[in-house]
Amino acid sequence: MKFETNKLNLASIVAVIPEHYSTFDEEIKNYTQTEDSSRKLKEVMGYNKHHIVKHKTTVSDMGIRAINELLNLNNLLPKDIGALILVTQTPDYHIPPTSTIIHGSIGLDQDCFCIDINDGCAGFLKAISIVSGIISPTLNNVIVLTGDVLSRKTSKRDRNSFPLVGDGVAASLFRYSEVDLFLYGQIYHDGSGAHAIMIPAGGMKEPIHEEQLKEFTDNDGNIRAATNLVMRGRDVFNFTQSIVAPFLKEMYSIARDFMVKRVYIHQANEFIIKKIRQKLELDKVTLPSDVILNYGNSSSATIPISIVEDHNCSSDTGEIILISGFGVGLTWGAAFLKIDNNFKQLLIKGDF
Amino acid sequence: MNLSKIEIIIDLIEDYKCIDSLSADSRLLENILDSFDLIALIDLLEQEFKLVIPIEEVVPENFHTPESISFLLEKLS
Repeated sequence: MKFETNKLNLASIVAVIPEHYSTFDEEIKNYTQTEDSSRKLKEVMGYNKHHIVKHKTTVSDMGIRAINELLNLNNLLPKDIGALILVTQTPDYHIPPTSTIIHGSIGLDQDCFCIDINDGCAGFLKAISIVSGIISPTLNNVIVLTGDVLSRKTSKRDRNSFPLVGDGVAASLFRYSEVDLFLYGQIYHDGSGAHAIMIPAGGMKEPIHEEQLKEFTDNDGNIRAATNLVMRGRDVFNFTQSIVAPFLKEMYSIARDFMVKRVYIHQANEFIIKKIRQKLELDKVTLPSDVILNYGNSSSATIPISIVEDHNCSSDTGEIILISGFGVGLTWGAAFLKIDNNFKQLLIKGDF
Repeated sequence: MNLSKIEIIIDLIEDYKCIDSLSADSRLLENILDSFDLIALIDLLEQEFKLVIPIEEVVPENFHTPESISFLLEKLS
């Protein structure tokens, strides 16, 4: 699906990351694989440190803080917000939508449209496609809140998943703006790969019972339960190699028409980012990748966190950037976005 | 066929996996290397042979056996 992004700009981002973090060096003892192979993966995959929540912190705990800070930073009142779009795979409850819990806590207007989207690494793109459809001079200041607390659903003895998972949220503010360019985005799905990244038990198809809480060792030597996140590495890699990389190459060839200086892609892992950077023939300034090393992969929040973390971005206000997300679904997409001339960014670390 | 290159490839994999039973036609993707091992191996190969393996070449047929990896490296060098 193609969607237009020439009637919105990215005005501000506030990211909230847990203060607490864990390092791969501390975690190596939890894994069944040899220490040498784990250390090699640390180097190649970017396993370094990842910020993860303590206790029972939820997306709404961090999201409420992020939105309040976003309002303060931009001198906005709750009544000024036209819509709140939440993207998460770790909602507070099955019922009600977490966006309405946040709506109530912040005191947003009854006329503020709220929606939850269950999505991950390409979720920021999906939310922007909705923003592009609803934003107008009369429905303005749309907040996209993205993020997860997936560490709470990942086995600490799964070396394929746990070292990469980072918790955190990002609240991004979009404003109505007529851009004199045909900016657009694209989103695609391949549901035949829907089981490549999943949490098998806990939904209606596989309700949790005693058997599914029992841990087992999978073919890669990881110990986990059916209630934990599982990534089928070969399927995910094949998807990234055969679909995402050529797609991004094509999008970047168009990016030159918009004089794009920065490309922010989902921070899956260091290896994938390096290979995509090679394919696009970009340097680390143009396609930054420090988020995975410093915070971990916080699924739908990694693109906005990358923008906030990129200190060079502040010099690019008013510029067009290219963003791209890919992952669970399987879903992939990219979009050209204009950064507001008065773009404001903030990253907060805290425990809740 | 460059046998010395194959021997280096076998040594790299055996050292990484702590095994000692590979031959030029060992089927690597059948219970020897998982997807994460493959990623680690690509990095080891790039360092050892001082080349870049483009993402489009990271396909199962190029990593099926030490011999097929050798053919890939020949193509890239």
